[in-house]
Amino acid sequence: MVVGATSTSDRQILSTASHLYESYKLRRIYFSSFSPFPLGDARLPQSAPPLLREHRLYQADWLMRYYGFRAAELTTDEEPNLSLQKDPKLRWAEAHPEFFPVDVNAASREALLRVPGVGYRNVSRILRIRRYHRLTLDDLRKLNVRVKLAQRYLIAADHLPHIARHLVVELPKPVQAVQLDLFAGVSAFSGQL
Amino acid sequence: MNLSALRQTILIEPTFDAWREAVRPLLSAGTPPEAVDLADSANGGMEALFANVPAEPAAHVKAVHVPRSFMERAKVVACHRSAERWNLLYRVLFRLQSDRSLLKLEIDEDVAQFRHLENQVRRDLHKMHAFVRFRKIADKSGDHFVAWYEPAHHVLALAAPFFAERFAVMQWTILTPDASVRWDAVGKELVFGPGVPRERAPQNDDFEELWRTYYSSIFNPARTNMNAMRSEMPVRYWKNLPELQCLPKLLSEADWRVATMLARQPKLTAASFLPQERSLPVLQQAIHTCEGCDLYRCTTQPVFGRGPATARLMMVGEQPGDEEDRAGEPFIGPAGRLLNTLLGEAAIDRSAVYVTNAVKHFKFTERGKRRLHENPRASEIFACRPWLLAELEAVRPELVVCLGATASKSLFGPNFGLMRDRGKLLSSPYADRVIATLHPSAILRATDPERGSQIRSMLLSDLKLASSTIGSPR
Repeated sequence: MVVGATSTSDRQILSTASHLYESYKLRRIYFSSFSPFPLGDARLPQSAPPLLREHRLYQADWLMRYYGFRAAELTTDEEPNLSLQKDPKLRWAEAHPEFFPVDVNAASREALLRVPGVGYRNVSRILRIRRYHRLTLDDLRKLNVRVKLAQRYLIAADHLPHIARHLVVELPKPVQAVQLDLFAGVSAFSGQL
Repeated sequence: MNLSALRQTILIEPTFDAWREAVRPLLSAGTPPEAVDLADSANGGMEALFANVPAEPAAHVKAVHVPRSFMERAKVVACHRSAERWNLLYRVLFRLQSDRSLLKLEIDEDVAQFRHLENQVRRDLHKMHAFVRFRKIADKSGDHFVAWYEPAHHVLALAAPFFAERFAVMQWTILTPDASVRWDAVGKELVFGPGVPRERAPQNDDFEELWRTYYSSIFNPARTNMNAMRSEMPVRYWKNLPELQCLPKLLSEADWRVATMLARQPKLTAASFLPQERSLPVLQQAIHTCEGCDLYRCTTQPVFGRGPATARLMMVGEQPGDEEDRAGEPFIGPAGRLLNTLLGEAAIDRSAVYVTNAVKHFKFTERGKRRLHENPRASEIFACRPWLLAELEAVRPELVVCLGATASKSLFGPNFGLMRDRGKLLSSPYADRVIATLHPSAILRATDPERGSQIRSMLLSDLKLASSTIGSPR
């Protein structure tokens, strides 16, 4: 699909793409950003769209094909284009704080696939390794997970992200126990003062 | 006790087979990896007291377990340039004896390192498949193709089978600083040899200039992305790629080339002045607001097409003339009157024809009190085309007759040759059936009467063709 020659939004492009994948069983769609050529039709734009837009569409395409995202989840009606600043997976994570944190050692494949910084192959590795080993952040680092990014959304054996802190139940401070006086004017037996 | 002080250094040839021979006795003796240091003999490793002395005979020889998946991956890792690779391989192999699923434990330090080295070698191998450039040398024995290449790791032996399969009928040699390989196209075998310094590699060939020209012409200046280029084609490979010699020039010209290309792009068209609804009366109203090119500035009014919306024949002229500009109606001047006569002769009912122009405003130069017709420019034809297309869409004629070069170029593009293609039933991207012919004003402007009558007969025969085409099945 040539991107950026018309005003078609990313939302429309992605919905077309997912329609093609679902109804026509296409294996792969390629996106190419429009590049102006000599003496083109005057209805065509004068400049090329940023190459980054093509990249973002590919990222979104991968999210749809491998990560279980639906086309409609990646953009909104208010913001029909993918962000050029942040990748679509991160954008989705930021818009859905209720989904996180995800526990590396317990979560399902579908949930792990949605964590920014964790790739498709690493999810399979995590699922394989955690059967006999509780994963820590350091282990994830060895798997080349982008830990700096992912740790905000993950619970690991040695890590609890900030957004999950409220989940820790604050126990009330134990009250200092005082030995009651057996011969005081009140009954120590009943404990009443 | 400090174990590293007692570490036994074993120098081995830097090949996978040598490593295998060296570790076989160590493994069956159960020598722990910490106790040995395997080093390249080529690197001139530290002179060791126990060099090449086999480990002390083991009390009991254990059965050795070497999984095939390890061997295949180890062969790749062995090609890495890292000096530590032999020790790493032995360490992994040693640990595999007690933990058979070690390679699946990807968070293990050794396994992670093993995978990292393997990936680096595989990537280098992949790059070698793409970046080897052969140069032709012709001698008595025939053509020989020689390439000089500097791989990041020792991947020549891994890469050679790919080239053997791909260039099976050619005599080729790949030279690298560490080793070389020659393909014997007759005997169908790879012959490995020692490394060769760069100076002995051929420097240039005739074909290279052609290849550079090709590369420069397919280079798209509007899509330069240096970061992607550097990551897919790391800079260390650039010096052996002849086509990249012209890269600096291409890059420095890229911005300028894009800017000039855009400057030559037609700026404005009428497209933005077209109304949403595309029926003829609405279009006719809307055309008065058109400022798609500069012609609207000096004219009385735009001249829209005339004729029934159900017309089966549409005639497209060039542009309104002096009289048309004043009256706001097409084909009422001298050329229009002549056209009426010709249509009568060709037995075409003028009232059933939709007539219009490729350019809707009159273009002229003022000479005293007279306004002299001037040919519209290609950019003006192009700018006005949306109106013509909207009319085509609204009328949907069976046949379009283009009168003159301007109308033909509007529908067939700027390279249309009128005298070459007139009088034929053509198909344009915008209309199924089109006949291009001369403009009646060409008869009026003809300098000698003989030429005039010649043009008249051509025009008439084309109109007759149009007349017979309408109504005939498609």
